[in-house]
Amino acid sequence: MKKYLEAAITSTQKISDKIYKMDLSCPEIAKSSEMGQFLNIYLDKGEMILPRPISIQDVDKDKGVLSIMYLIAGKGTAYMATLPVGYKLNIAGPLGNGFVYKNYKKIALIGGGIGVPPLYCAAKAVLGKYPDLDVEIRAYIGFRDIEFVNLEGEFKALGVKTLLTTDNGSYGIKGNALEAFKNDDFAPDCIYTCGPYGMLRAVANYAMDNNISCQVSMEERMGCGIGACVGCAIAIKKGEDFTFKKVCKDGPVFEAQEVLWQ
Amino acid sequence: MMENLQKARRNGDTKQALLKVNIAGVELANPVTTASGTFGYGREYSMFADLNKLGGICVKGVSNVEWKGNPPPRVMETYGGMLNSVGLQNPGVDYFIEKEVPFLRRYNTKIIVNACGHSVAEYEAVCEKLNEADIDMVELNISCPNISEGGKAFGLDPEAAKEVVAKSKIKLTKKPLMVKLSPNVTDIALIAKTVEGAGADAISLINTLLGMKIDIYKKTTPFKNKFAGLSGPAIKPVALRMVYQVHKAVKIPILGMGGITTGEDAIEFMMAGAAAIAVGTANFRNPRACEQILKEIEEFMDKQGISDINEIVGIV
Repeated sequence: MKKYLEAAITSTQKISDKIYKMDLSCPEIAKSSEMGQFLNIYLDKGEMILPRPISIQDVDKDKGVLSIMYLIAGKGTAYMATLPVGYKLNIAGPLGNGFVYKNYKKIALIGGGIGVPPLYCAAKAVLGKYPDLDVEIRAYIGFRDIEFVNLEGEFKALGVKTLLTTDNGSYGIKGNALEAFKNDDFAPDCIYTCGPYGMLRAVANYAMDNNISCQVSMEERMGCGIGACVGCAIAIKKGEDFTFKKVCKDGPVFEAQEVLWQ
Repeated sequence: MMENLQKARRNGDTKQALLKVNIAGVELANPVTTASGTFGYGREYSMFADLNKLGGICVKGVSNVEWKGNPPPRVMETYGGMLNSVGLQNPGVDYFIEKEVPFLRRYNTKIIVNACGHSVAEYEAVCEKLNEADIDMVELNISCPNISEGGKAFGLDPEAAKEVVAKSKIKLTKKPLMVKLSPNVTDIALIAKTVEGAGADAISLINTLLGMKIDIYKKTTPFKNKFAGLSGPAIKPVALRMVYQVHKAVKIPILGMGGITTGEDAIEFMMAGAAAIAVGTANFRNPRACEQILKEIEEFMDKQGISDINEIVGIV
């Protein structure tokens, strides 16, 4: 059930100059949050009108804490990074549909930049929910530069084999996440992917060419974040034609083959 | 007097009478409604807010057939506001009547339907269907800045506005016709008088102001249509001025909107001449904005000893 509530910041962490983490205490939203969903963060700054939609990176349902990891992309996220522990913000969530697990034995996570945190959430959720199924998950995570690297240690702590790339080779393997996946000897039943559009399109095309099921978490500029304003449109195939669906409500996760890739 | 009022409120018996307003024969339990395009068809907000507390819900624009809308990006934040170029994406009037009206009717609120078209014939077609539907009022959208062929063209040219309003009115024998005006005109009073003369039962204003954004790194306009509609608190003074001008120019009731974020904003619009108000972009900032604004209106009335909200309409 989606809720709009006040949440207190219980912890903040600077991951790098560009990436921050925030923990929010909100048991009612935490208990119903699923992997791949997101939160609306409402900013109490008069000139900032729109909520900031941020993927859930981690959930502790027992403690009622939600973690988000975000990139400083503009004034709103820069403001968020200044907020101290104890500060209360309004949030709405859990929003969007999230990734779906269908008895997969092998899952590849292919993530880019700030698209990596929801994949961590997915890995943890699948491994935590189905400990007896022996699901093998491997993570292929790519970043522009060392400055944007996040969650490498956390993936490894889950026991997930993790291959990390940077575009410029400043850390990990020089190259990108999809190349790292192609070069690895792993044949997954499903790919979960999240990251910049070009990467998603490349992953989706590769998955479709190789008949691998692929769930893509899309991004688009949002207005309300709850499905009312139809701001975050994405073209979805409809027979020979297409229709615009809402990333915030119909997504953010879509099947690779339903997206009309540009 | 204030004590009596507060006592009456607590008892709940006179509260309705104090806040009730009437627009073209449609009685709203209170003056707070939603602005078209910001509230969908109510479903999404029903999870966060009590729709029964709204005087009315003005739904997202519907056309005679499904419209795809504009390609992304469609929204962008500005200082104290936002730009949108959604382009009236909607599933069409038949789907709306079949699937959305029954849902909205579960709530004790009035249903105002924003109707749009590319041509006079399309406006007539959608009005003909809405005339038979279980709704309370039609808001004719002749002012959307985001569709090239129609919409704005009707709202910017008094002759075109006159024709589309008069012909829509013929089809709407059973429902009041409210006409939503564009602020992107030189003389708002002229167009208001024109639509009043053409048979409008009420006027709503303002739609969004035409704006623009440039990506200085890519040296392009992010919106495919170049221009987009500006809304939010940034436009409030302009909207207020136009409501005031229209109120001086016409006799029909006005639904005022444009950047209303607080109860005080709502009171300003009513003092300028709005019989009721609509909350738009503020819903994005706070899914319970309408409830909050209604509460603040009531608090203002208590403090100022206003026994009937209608007393302040057009008082300035």
